[in-house]
Amino acid sequence: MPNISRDEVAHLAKLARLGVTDEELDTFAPQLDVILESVAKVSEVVGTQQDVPPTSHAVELTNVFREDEVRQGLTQEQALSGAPAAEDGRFRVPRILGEEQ
Amino acid sequence: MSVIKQTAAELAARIHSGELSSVDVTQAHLERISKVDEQLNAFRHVDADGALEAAAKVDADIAAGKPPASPLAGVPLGLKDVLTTQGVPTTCGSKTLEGWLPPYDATVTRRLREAGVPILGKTNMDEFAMGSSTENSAYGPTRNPWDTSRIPGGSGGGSSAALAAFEAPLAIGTDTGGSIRQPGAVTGTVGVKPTYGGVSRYGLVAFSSSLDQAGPCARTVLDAALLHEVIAGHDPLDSTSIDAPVPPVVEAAKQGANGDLTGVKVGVVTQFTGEGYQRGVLDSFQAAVEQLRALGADVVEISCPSFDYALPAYYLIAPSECSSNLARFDAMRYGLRIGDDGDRSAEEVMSLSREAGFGPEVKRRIMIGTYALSSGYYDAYYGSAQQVRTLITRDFAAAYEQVDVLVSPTTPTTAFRIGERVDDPMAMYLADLCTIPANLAGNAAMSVPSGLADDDGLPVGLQIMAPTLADDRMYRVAAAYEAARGPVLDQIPEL
Repeated sequence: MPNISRDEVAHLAKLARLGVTDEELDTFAPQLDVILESVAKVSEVVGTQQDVPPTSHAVELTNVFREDEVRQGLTQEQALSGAPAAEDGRFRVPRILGEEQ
Repeated sequence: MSVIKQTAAELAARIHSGELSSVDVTQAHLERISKVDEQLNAFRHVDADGALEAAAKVDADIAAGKPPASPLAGVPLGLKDVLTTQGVPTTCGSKTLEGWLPPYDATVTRRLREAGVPILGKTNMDEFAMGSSTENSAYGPTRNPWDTSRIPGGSGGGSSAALAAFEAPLAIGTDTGGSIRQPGAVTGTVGVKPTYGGVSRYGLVAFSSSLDQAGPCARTVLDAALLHEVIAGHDPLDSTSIDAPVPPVVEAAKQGANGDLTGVKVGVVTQFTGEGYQRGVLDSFQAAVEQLRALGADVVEISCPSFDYALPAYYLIAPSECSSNLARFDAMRYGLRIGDDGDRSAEEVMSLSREAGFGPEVKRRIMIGTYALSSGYYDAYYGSAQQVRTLITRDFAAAYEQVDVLVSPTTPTTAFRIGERVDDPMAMYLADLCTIPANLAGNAAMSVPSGLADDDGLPVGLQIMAPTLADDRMYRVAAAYEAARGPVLDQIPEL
């Protein structure tokens, strides 16, 4: 089924906000091709059994509620302790909007 | 016998009786780490002060006549570097988290502290637990103490190598597709993946949330059971944590040790044999099955046809979940940030930081997951994989109507050489062939040493699987088998 090109790998990397070098693209493209070719085997087995329901989780998930009470969480200092940059008790991040926006 | 070669159960008894101090036991293991870890790289970080402080508290309590905080109080442990430890570095084997000091403890960490278990340090692992050899650690591979040119398994190779090298009597691992059991098998140690939801995932840095499960690693089945009971149990901080009593695994291990398996029905999975399996592994497995029969077990063959599709399904589901989970490493709130020069946008900084912070396997899996979840491919890949997951769960359910436990080799081969599979991802993935089904179904499974392969003299693991919340069944069988087989680690060469 697959046959994934260098350009497609570059596109996937962009979608995943993952910088990749030209060298990496050369290595990843054939590797991803082999992996995707191999895992495509899953569609064989279900091809004949369309009515099988999907399982997303081994444990049946239900909402877990608790009383809406104030509890001690991380302090502001703790929350910011690992921040690459902080200012005035807040996370300092690079600009989010482009020039024209 | 020297302190470091003793089991956790023996050490606990001697510490609690006042015959040995926890400080001395902890110190002996810290000295062992100083002596041999340069050859192995099993530990990412050693917290000597923290461990000795915890040990001193246990000794003070015992001197004051207080009962021990738990059956393992005073026995030190190595903690996989994927579980958060407040104020102690937690890297997950990634450059992204180099120097990060978590602001909170994982529930597993908290339970260990409350149980009086001194934490010697954090053990090395494949980056974000993705790998089967510990070669994907950004901080260098861990080496197998049986043969330092070989891998110790992965992702939790650090924990298992530490046990086999007598650097720690106990360790914690996490198992998403075999990361506790496969390292256990190739190092001649015991590794347990409890039932999914049996041990809290709070503070376990997520790789694939529907599969990740923390569990005990040890040198004996009883030690693993004692540790299992310390870390298991419901936790309101993890919404997938099961609110049910912990299976009585210590009692089961003690019962099993009497060596009688009369009336226990054991199923041999017929899919896990043949081409691709090392002859020495299959011979060891056959001998283990004969041993179980000799102990009185009723052994039958069980076919689980959908298990042939477990590996491809796993390598779609796990990367899909990982591509979403690892989006949190965005260089904004914590972790590595690269290229923030005032001109670049947040998106550019994110992309540069993730490029520098992640290794090749993590990048591959993020891209596979991104591909599998993209529109147009979703049904054929992720959708089909979820249907395979249903079929696997059904095969297990049908099998457990006929037998109490299932057995197979833990891994198709013994420990391979460092570098042998690192450029061939599919060859690496095959190491998880037999361990993955239990993760997909959420069942319990463990690996117990089944001796050394007759063709290369390296350790082999017997995998024992049990239904959800019937973890005690596999402990009973494992303890009986272990008692009959005898120790394996006494044959390990001196480092």
